[in-house]
Amino acid sequence: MATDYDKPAEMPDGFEGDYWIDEQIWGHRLYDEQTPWLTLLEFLTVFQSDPSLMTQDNLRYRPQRQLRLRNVVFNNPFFTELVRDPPLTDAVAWDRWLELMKGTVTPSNLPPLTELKTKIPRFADFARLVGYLRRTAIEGNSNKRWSSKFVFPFGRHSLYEDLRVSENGASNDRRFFARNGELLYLMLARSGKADQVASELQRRFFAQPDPTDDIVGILQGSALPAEEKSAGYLPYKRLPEYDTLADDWIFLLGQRLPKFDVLPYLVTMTGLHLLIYFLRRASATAGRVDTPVFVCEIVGPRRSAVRDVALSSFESNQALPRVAVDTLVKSVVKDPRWSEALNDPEPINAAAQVLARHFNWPDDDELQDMNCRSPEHLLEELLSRALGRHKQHVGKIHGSWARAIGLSSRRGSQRVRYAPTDALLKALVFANVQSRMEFKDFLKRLYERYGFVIGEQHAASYITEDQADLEDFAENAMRLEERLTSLGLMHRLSDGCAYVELPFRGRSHHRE
Amino acid sequence: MGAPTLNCHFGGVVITVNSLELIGAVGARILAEELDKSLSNAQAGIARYLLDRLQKDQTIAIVHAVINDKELSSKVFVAIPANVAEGTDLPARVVTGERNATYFRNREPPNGEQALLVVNIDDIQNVSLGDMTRIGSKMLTDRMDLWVDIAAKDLVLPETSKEVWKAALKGLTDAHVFTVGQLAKYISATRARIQEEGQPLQSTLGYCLPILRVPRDSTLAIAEQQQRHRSAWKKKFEQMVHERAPLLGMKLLPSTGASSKRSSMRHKLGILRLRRWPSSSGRPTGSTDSSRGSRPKRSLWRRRRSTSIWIRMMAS
Repeated sequence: MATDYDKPAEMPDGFEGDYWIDEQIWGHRLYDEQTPWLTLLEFLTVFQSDPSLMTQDNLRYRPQRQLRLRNVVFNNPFFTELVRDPPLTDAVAWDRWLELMKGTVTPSNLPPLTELKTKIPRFADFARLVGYLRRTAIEGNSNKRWSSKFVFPFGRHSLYEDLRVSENGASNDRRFFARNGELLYLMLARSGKADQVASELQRRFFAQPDPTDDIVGILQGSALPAEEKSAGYLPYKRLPEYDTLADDWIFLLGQRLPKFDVLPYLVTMTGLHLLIYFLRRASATAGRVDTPVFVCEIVGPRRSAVRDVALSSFESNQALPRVAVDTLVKSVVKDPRWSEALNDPEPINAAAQVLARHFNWPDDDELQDMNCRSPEHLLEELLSRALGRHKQHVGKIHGSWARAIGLSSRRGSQRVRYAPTDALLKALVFANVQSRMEFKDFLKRLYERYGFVIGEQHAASYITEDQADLEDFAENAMRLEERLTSLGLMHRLSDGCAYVELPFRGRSHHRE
Repeated sequence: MGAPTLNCHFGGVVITVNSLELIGAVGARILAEELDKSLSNAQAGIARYLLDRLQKDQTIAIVHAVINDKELSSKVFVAIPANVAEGTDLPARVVTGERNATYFRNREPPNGEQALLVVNIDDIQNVSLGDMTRIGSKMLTDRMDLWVDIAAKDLVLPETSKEVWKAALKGLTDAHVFTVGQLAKYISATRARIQEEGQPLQSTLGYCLPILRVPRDSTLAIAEQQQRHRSAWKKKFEQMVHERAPLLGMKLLPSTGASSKRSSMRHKLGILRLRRWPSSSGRPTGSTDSSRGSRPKRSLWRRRRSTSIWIRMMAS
C-alpha cells in the first residue's frame, strides 16, 4: 500500500463537479446533512454488498432498495383509520387496508401486498409489528420524506439505500446518502486492519440471523434486483486517522455489549473520527503545523475561563476549512505555469487553462460569460465562487456533526463551544477502556488520540498565554470526574488513584 | 526582586509596571492577613498555607514577596520543591528536595516558625491537601480591594477614586472570569497610565481593556452617583464582554473570506447605487460613472465613507 498521504490528490477521471476544490481536500464527498447515523447505515449497505472490506479503489456495489418494506412501514398512514373504526375481523381489516394502500404504494411494480395476509393472518399482529418498526426507526421522528426513513439495522433485510420515489420509479438523488458512508467504507478498507474490522462486523451482525430481521424480511418479500453503483472518491491512500478509526471499531465490536447496543457508540465514534479527519485535512492543506484540538468545557454550575477557551477553540476550528480552501486556491500562483500564463499574449485564456487543470474550472462558456479583466480577477472570481459553494454544505460539517455527536453545545451560553454530552463521554469510555484505566491516563489518551483538552496537563499553552488559570483546567477535569462518577464509570480510591471503569468486567479483546 | 519587568504591548497599551511584582505583593498581603487571623486564636496551632496551582512565575513572585518581607518571613517557614525553584534566584533555604506538598502537611516548622508555606503545582495531591489554607487564583481574584490598595500606593489619586477603582474591578470580575495574569497586567497598565500620563481613572479603565481581550473604549464612564456600586460596573462590563469582545474573534476568519465579502458588498453597493441614483435619462448608469471626475456631494461622500469603514472593519 502506498504511503503517499501528503501527496496532493489527482482528479479522478470522469469527475463531473463544477469545482475540484473541496473534493480535492476531503474527497467526493462529505456532506453536512448526512448525519452520523445515516453515514453508518450507508456504510452497512455498502458492506452488505461487498463484505470483504478489501476494495480500496474503484469500489462498486449493489445496495438493496426494499421498497415494499418501506411502503408498509413509512408510507402507510391508514392504521389510525382502521383502529378508529369499530373492531373488525381480521379478514375485513386486511381487505380494507389493502384497498386503502392501492392508491398509495409507489412505484407500482412492487411485489403484491396481498401475500402479507397469508404470512401474518392476524391484522392486529401486523399493526403491532409495523408500530414497533416505526418506533425503533432511525431518526424516526424527523420530517424527512418516507423514502428517506430507515428501520433499525436489525440485519440484512433492514439495510437499503436512500431514494427519491415517484410514480415512474425510484432513483438515488444523494439527498441523505450523500456518500459519507462510502468514504467511511474506503477509510476502513485502507486502514491496516480492514480484515479484522470485516470479520468482527460479520461475527456481530451478519453471521447469526436476527429474529426481528427475519420478520422485516417477511414485510419486504422477495428483493428487487439492485442496480450497481460506483462509490465516491477518497483522496489519500493511507492516513493515521484511518488506523485510529479502525482500532476504535475493532475495540467497540469486541466489547461485551448486546450487538445492537454497540451501534450508538459506533455511530458516535465514527462521527468523531470523520470530524477529526475533516479538520486535520483542512489543517494540513492550510499549512498549519499544529494538529487541531478540541478544548472541552465540562459544563459546571458557574462560568469558568475554560468556557472562553472552548469557545475560541470551536471558532478557530470552524474557520479552518475556509482557510484550507483559501490556501489551496491561492497555491496555484506557485505553479510555474501560472507565471507563464501571466506573460502569455492571451493571459486570461492561459490562466483559465491553468485553473482548469488544477480545479476543473472554468469551462469555455463560463469564461466567455464572465467578462474577466485579468488573470488575478479570474483567480479572485474562482475563490469567491469556491468559498460560496463551500459555505453551503462542506463549511457546515464541523458545526452540524459536532452537535450531532454531542461534542458541541450552546448550553448556558449564547455561542457554541465544545462541551461534551454524557452520550459522547460514554462512547469515549467504551471505545477506550478495557476494564479500568487511571483517570490521568484516560485524559492523556483522549488528548493524544482525539485532541481533547480537558485537564491542566494538556492545556499548558492556554495557561501560559493567560487564557485560563491552571486551577480552571484542574477544576474542569474535576467536573469530568464528577460526571463520570454520576454515570457509574468512575471510581476514586485516594489521591492519584482515580479509575475510569466499565460497569461490567471482562472483555473478549484487549487494547494494544 | 529578580522577576523580569514586563514591557508588553496589548492593543497599543504598553505595560511598564511589573505585573508579577503586583501578584507577589497581593499574595503576600493575603498570606499576612490569613496569618493574623490564625494567630488571633491561641489554640489554633501551626498555620499551613498552600500556594495552589498557580503558574510557576506567579508562585515564585509570591515567594519572593514573602521572603523579602522581614516580619512575614520571620513567622513563615517556606518550602519550595526544587523542580519549581529550578532556574530562579530563590535562596537555598526555601528550597526543599521533597516534591510533594503532602510531606509537610503534618510536620512542624524546623525553626519554630508559626506557619508553613508550601506549593502544589498539579492536581494529584489535591485531596490530601484539603485541610490546608489554599492561596490560589480564585482567592487572588476575589480580593480586588487588595490589588487596588497595592496598585494605588504612591499614586496621586483621591480616596474616592480608589473606591471607584475597587468597585469597577469587583464589577469586572463579577461580569466575567479573568485569569490572575490578565488582571495583574490590566491593573498594572491602568496604574502606569494614570501615573505617567495623568489620565482620569474611568477612561483609563476603558483604554486598557484590550489586555482583557475586550475592545478599547476610552469613553467608558458610569454616572457619578453609581460609580461606587459594583453592580453598575458589572452591568457595564457584562455588556462590553458579551457584545463587543466577540467582535475581536472575527480576526479568526481568513482574510480572503473577508475580501470576498468585501467584493460581494461592493457588488451589492453597486446595485444599490444603480437603484437609488438613476441618470437624468432615467436609465441606470454604472456606479463608477457617477463618482468619476468630481467628488460626490458631501452627504453621499459621507455615506460611502462610512460604508467603506464598515467594509474595513469586517475585513480586518
